[in-house]
Parts: sequence; structure tokens; C-alpha cells
Amino acid sequence: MRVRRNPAWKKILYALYLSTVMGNSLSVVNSFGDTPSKTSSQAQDQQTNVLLSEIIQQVTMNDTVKGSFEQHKYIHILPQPLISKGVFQMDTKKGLAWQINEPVASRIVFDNSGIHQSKNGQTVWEVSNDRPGVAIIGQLMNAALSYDWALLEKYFSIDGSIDEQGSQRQWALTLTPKENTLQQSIKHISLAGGRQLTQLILFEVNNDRTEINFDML
Amino acid sequence: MIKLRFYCWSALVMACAIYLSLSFFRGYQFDSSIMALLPESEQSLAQVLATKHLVNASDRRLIFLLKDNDKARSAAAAKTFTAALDDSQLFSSILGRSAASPATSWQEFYRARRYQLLSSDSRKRLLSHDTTLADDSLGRLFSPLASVVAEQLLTDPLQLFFQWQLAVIPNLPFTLEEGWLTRSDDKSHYRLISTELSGNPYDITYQKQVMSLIDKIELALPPEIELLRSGLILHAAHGAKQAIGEISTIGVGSALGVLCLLFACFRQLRAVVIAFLPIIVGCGFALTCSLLLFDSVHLITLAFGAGLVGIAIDYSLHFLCAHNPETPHLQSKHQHQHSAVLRRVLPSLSMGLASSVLAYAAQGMAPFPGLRQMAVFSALGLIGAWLTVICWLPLLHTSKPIVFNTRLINQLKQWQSRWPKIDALWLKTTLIILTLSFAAVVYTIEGNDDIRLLQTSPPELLSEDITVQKLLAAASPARYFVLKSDSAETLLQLEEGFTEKLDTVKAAGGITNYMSTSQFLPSQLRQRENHSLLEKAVYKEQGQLHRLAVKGGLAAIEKPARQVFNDTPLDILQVDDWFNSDISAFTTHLWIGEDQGQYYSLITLFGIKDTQAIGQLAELARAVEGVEFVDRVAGISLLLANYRQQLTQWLILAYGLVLTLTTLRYGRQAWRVVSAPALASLAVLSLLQLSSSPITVFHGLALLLVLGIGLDASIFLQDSDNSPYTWLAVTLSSLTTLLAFGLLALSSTPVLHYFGVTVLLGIICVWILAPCFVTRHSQCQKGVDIPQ
Repeated sequence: MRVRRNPAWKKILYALYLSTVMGNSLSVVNSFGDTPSKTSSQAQDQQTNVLLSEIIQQVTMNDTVKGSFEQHKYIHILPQPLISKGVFQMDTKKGLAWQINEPVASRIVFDNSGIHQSKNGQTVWEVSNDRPGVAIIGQLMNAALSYDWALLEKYFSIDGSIDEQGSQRQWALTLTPKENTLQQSIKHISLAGGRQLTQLILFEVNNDRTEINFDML
Repeated sequence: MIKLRFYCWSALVMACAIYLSLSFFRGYQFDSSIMALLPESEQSLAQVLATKHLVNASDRRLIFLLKDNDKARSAAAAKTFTAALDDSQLFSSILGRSAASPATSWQEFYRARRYQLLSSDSRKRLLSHDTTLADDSLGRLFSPLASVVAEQLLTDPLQLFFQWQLAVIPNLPFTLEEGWLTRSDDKSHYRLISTELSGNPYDITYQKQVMSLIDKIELALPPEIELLRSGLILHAAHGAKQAIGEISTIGVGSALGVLCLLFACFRQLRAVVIAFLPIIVGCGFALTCSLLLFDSVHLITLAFGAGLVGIAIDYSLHFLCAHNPETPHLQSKHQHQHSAVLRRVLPSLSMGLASSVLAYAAQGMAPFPGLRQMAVFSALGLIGAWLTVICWLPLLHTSKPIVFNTRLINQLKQWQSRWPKIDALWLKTTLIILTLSFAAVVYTIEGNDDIRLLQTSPPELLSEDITVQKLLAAASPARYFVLKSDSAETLLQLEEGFTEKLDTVKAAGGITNYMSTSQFLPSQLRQRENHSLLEKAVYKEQGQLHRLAVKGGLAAIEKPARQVFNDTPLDILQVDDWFNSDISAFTTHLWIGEDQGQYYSLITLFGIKDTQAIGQLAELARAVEGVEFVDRVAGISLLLANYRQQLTQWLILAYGLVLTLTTLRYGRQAWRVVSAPALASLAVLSLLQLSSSPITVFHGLALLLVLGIGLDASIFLQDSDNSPYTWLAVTLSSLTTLLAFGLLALSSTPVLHYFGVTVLLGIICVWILAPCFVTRHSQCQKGVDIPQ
């Protein structure tokens, strides 16, 4: 009964529930588990750092990136993936505008304030960035497209390699969530590219995966 | 007769002494509640219930935030901090580090009832047959958000349950990091530790234990860490400490001052004791009666009561000064000296008492429980002192005449002869000009009714409180809605109807959010409506599900999703289901429940934008039967303003009344008695206004005291032919009043400060003015009226 009478308790309980509800669909971006896994040794860290800075040197860095994309969403209950196509534009200040043209027309903007879905210029759905479980998608996409390794390293341990194939040097990175709330929904994320990011695959715990191929302009 | 009075009063005083010592022996706890000064406004039952409900829920809470820019250090500090709190046994619950939460219970609780839950936006779109709803769902499903929404494709194909969750769950800035609830901004990280006190926050002993513990732990924290705190006990502890400090400085200070004065003019221990006795007896009498009359005596009452010392000394001084060697008829009838003296001063004493008690009575009529107690305490103290003078002093005061400090008397005589008289033309003109200019200044006064007048806590404590509340993103504690209905179900329906209106305010940015029970526990009617709406608009053959399947190439999921819907039975969420679940804990403060056959609930508000939004909210509530908007800030300010206006009328009325009464006694000379306090009041108001001090209802109340006390001086002077001995008494009592209220002016409690300043200035003015107005030729008038 004591618990009942105290709103502080309520707030905290409520915060816990919130983080779990959201964490269930996808994890809380800002949360760290009770036991942050520190698997990578110092040597590995250093190796990763070298790799990441090499990639930075190789890729074309721009404040604005635009191009087209093709997304394949594999869901275990469906025999075929859900395929969508469209164009995107990422601005380090304004965020990422994701314009789907097929199979339906829809525009979603992921920016600092949150996620905004609009249709014919009218906002039809919005979620603010303090909804951690949902907002992380936008942060992740923005960080990957702008090669913001610092942000990614905050939540993921990064592993990878660079492949020399003649003049085209291809790189690939694997991002593994560092803390267990994020681990509950994301198995790992893979990023690949050459002079630019060409592919992002998000592997989910339930064996679903989201595959996005970029074609930069 | 004298003896009988003596013994009766002695018996009563003895009884008081015994009662007091018994009370203190048993450890009487003075009240230090900060709520005591808050006025009683005219509240509806709903509002009273709401206030009680909210106050009960929060007064035992004490919240800490550890602010640091280093995460690891703050986590370690939070751990030692929590451990120290835990060791003290002073808290019934401490919530800091959290273990893994009871996973998914929240979603689990609602999952089975997801087809009965719709966000207001989804509901509106479904009702208006908005076919783009399915398109928007597809837009998200085919975007990177797929990784969030695709998993529930069969059970929530249009993401309606997903949207409901996002809409209903208010944003919480604290998330779990390293096992601590943490909020981070650009520079710092805040660790939240929430505690519940095991003791009464107003219990002074308990307060001291908690405060010294917090001080000790705070010192042990790493210096980089800043500790932020919020809780009622902090204010209560501060209030108690301040009141105790003020009682000692004001009480002891004025007592010492008065003693010094008395020694200076009598140079005789006996006279000093006799003069001082009524004060002590009066205070004891007042305290005893207050303990009997009130459930709890507030510490601030005692601080204010300390000002009493200055007034109560009047009676004994006038009694003593009436014994002066110049009073001719006393020397002849030596044995009856004291009763004769008493008979001589009794009318003046009684008149003085009556005027002071009346002034306090007016103060007691104010709708502030704290002020009422102060007034009762002071009036009782004066009555006690007066009774002591008339019952005890004639016998205690032995035949040996009191020796006055003759040098002082001669000096006073000299001053007095030089004191200007109103009959002088220049003074008349000066005073008329002054009165007119004062009146002009007073006319420009605009009252101040700020709620902060009632605040007893220092600004640092308040700003710390505000910082913590902001970081917690807590609902506004001063503004909320109270709703009332005949049953729980209709109450929930009322909430649902009303929150639809609130949604428009929210969309316009007037508020950032609100929280109501019906968000988590929709009415049964709404649940059924939602279910049938989903059935018709989404899951029937050509519904939105079909559209989704066709447009998105999701034909494979259409049938299974419909099957899941059809297989899920309607499972109405009942009031008891909700409140018996663990997850309802954070909304129980919204539900007041049943009281005398009516059901009550609250809707709390977040981020109210400005006064315009407040007006809008009040307007909304007025338009709906059963909904009340509570604005405690405005309510109290309005009450203060109303009361200030009333008080102005009362003051004028009081002067009229006093003038009538004094006319009965002094005839056409009455104006001489009333002019001094009246002019003094005008002068005080002008001075305050010119020094740009706020003029409040409390200044008005203090002016009543100026009238009460100031009248005393004029009456005594007038009655004694302006004799130097009376003037000595008046001067002494003015000085003692100045000491007492002057020290009160140093109080950091705004109300006491205002009282102190006003009475201080007022009495100085009365003291200067009274001798100007009184006349030496009123003997015949007085002789007629004195009753034998």
C-alpha cells in the first residue's frame, strides 16, 4: 500500500515501464544495461580506430548527401520481402528526409526534434525524440549516412575490414549493441561501402532484417 | 474585594502554569507547517478533496538529484549516497539503483485489450473514413521504421496499438543508465534518487535528524557533484528553524531592551519586576489558552506574540507612573493609595485594552488561519496582562513609593514644554499640508497581492525546488482540473469528452501534455465503441485492412490478421482490473474515487505556456458541467486582493467607530485622540509607497494595530492632562513597542516583516504626533464620564 501512496514511486515505476515498453519494440537509445559488455580489448579498439579513420579518409564527406534507395524488409511470416523505393536527402543540420515513391507515396523526416511523417505537405504522424525506442532509428540512419563514428561507438562496438579489389577499396563494418536493452531487439547492424555508404542491414533478434541499399548522387 | 480578585487570578495563573509545565513535560510539538499561512478560500468539495489528495500524496516525498559531468563518478556517488540514506533508517523507501524491471508487464497488460484502445487521432480518422490511414501505416512499414513496426504486422497491422502507446505514455526525461534513472543534457548527468520519509515531515525532532543526515552525506560527496533536493520537509525544516531563531531574537531582544529601559527610569529592581510581571503572566495565559483552543500552536504565532511584550508593558507602566509623587490626593490617603490609583487609571487601562483587543479581533476575522491564531494569542496575552495589573499589582505594590529617575523626569518635562502644540498656527498649517500630500500619495497606491507574500521559504530553496521539478518534468502542482460525476463509468466518460477539448489546446501549444485516468483506463463505453469501430472500419471485408493489403502487396496477411482480431475476445478493462495491476501505480494520484456517493478525479497538466493558456483552460472548464479548473496561484491572489479591498473599508469603518466611541467620552475633543493614529497611518502608507515597498493586505492589518496601540497613547495622554509621568509611560511603552515590532521587521517571513515595519513606523509617528494634539484642558469632560 505504501507504494501506492507515493507518486515518486509511481514516476519511477512508470519510467521503468516506459523503457521496457519501448525497449520491447526497439531499445532505449540512451540506456545502458547493468553490465555494459567490454569485450573488445585495447588492441582491438585501436585497430577499429585505425580502420574507421581510414574509411573516413576514403569516403566523400559532404554536409548534404542525397540519392535513391531500395529497401528490402524481410519478415519471417512473409515469403517475400517488402520492397520499397524512393529518394532521400540528408543534411547534417536538417536531418534526413526519406521520400518513399513505391509502393505508396510517403515522406518521413528524421531530425533533431523527432520523426515527422507527412503527406502532400501535411503532417499525418509525429513522434518526438524523447520517445527513445522509436527515435533511435532516425539517429542511427543519420549517423551512418554522415559517418558519425563517435555516436555509433557510443551504442555499438564496431568491427570491420577493408577489401582491396583493384582500384575499388570496399569496406564493411559490423555494429554490435553494447548494452542489453538494445541487445534485446537488435542482433547487429552491418554497414558497407566504397567511396560511399552503399548498404545498411539491420538484423533483428527475431530473425527479421531490414536491408537498405543506397545509390548516392 | 481586592483580595478576592487577587486570589481568584492567582488560582487561574497557577492552573495555567501547571497546564503549561505538564504540556512541555510531555513534549509538546509546535506546528511548523508552511501551509498555516495559506488562506482558506471558498472551495468546492471537489477542490477540497483534490487538494487533500494531492497534498497527502506528496508531503512525505523527498527527491535527490546528483548532478555531475562524469558518469562513472556520479554512479559511484549515487551508490554511497543511497547506502547512507538506507543506513539511517529514516526513510520508508529509497529508490535509486533499479534492478531489471518486470519486463513487458505493461505491454502484456494491454496487449490482450489492444482492439479496445485507440488514440484520439486514430479514432477521429477511422470515424471519418479517412482511407489515407492505411497509406500512412504502409509509409511507416516501408520505411526504416519497419524495424519497429513490422514485428506486429499480424497483431497490429495498421500500427494503431503502437500509436496509442506513443500517444498515451507521457514523455519521461529519465531513462535507465548503468541501472540508475538518469537524465543527461549537454553538460551534466543527473541521477535520480527518490525517497519516502518514514516520519512526519512537520515533526521537529525528525526534521533535525533528516537534515543533519543530508548535510553529513552531502559533505561526503565528491566536490564535483552538486546535490539538488526537493521535498516538503526541506521547507518545513527551514520554516521551523527560522521561526525558532526569530522567537529567540525577537522575544529575548525585546525583553532585554524593555528591562534596560525600565532600569533606566526606575533604578529599582522591585519596580522593574512589578512592571515586567504582567508580561510574563500575560504570555503564559495566552499560551495556555491557545494550546486549549487550537489543535496545534504554530511557531510563527509565538514569533508574532513576542511583539506582545511591547504592548503589555503599557498597563503596568501606566499603573506605576500614576504613582508619581505629583499626584496630590494620593499622599493624603496613604492606605488606600493603590486602590485609588487603580480606580484612577482603570478607565484608561480598559479603554486601551479595548482598542487593542478590537484591533486584534479585526485581524482575527481575516481568512488566514495563521493570522487568526496570532490575533487570538495576542488578544489573550493583553487580557492576561491587564488582569494581572488590576488583580495583582495593587497588592504587590507595597506602600513604599516608587522612586523615579528624577533627572529623566525633569528632562522629559523640559522637552514636553518645548513640544509644539496643534494650537500653534504654523503647526496647524504644516500638518494640514502634510495630511493633504500624504493623502495624495496614498491615493496613488496600487496594492500587491502576489502569492509570494505568503511564502516563508528563502528564494534559494524555492529555486532549487523549481530546478528539480523542471528536470523531473513534473505536472504543474498549482493548476489542474477536478472532475465530478455520479459513477466511475460516467466520470471516465466525462474525462474522455473533456480531454478531446484539451487536445485542441495541446495542438495549439497551450500545454505540452496532460494526464488523465481515462487515457489508461478508457470508459467501458469507449472500449466497446473502439472495438466496434475497428470491426467496421478496419477488419470487415472491405475495410482499411483490405486497403493496406492491396496497396502494400500484403495479401498474405489480410486473412490471418482478421482471424487474430476475430479470435480475440472483447475483454473490457474494469476499474478494479486497472487499479489492482502493478502498473497503475503511477496514475493513482489522478483518481480520488468515491466520496459521499460522488466520484472524483484529476487531470494534471504539463508545460502550461502562458497566462493566455491559463485563461483558455479556465474557459474550457466553465463550459463543461462537472469540470472545475483549479488555479491555486490565482485563487490565493484573488483572495488577497478581495481581502485587501475589504480591509480598506474596514479601516475607515474602524476609525468611524473609534471616533464615535471617543466622542461619548471626550465630546468635541475626540478628534485630538483620533488624529494622531490616523495621521500616523497616512504617513506610514506614504513612506512605504515612496520607498516603493509593496503595499499588501498585511500592511492594512498592521495599520489596525497602529490604530489600536496608537489610540492607547493618545487616551493616556489626554486623560492625564499630558502629565510628564504619563508621557514617560507613553514614551516607555512606545519605545518597548518599537523594540518588539522593530525586531519583528527583521523577520525573514514576509508577513511578519510587513507587520513589523508598519507598526514600527506607525508607532514612531504616533509618539511624535500624540503630544501635539492632546490638550491640558479636558479635566471637566473627564470628571463627568468617569464611572465610580
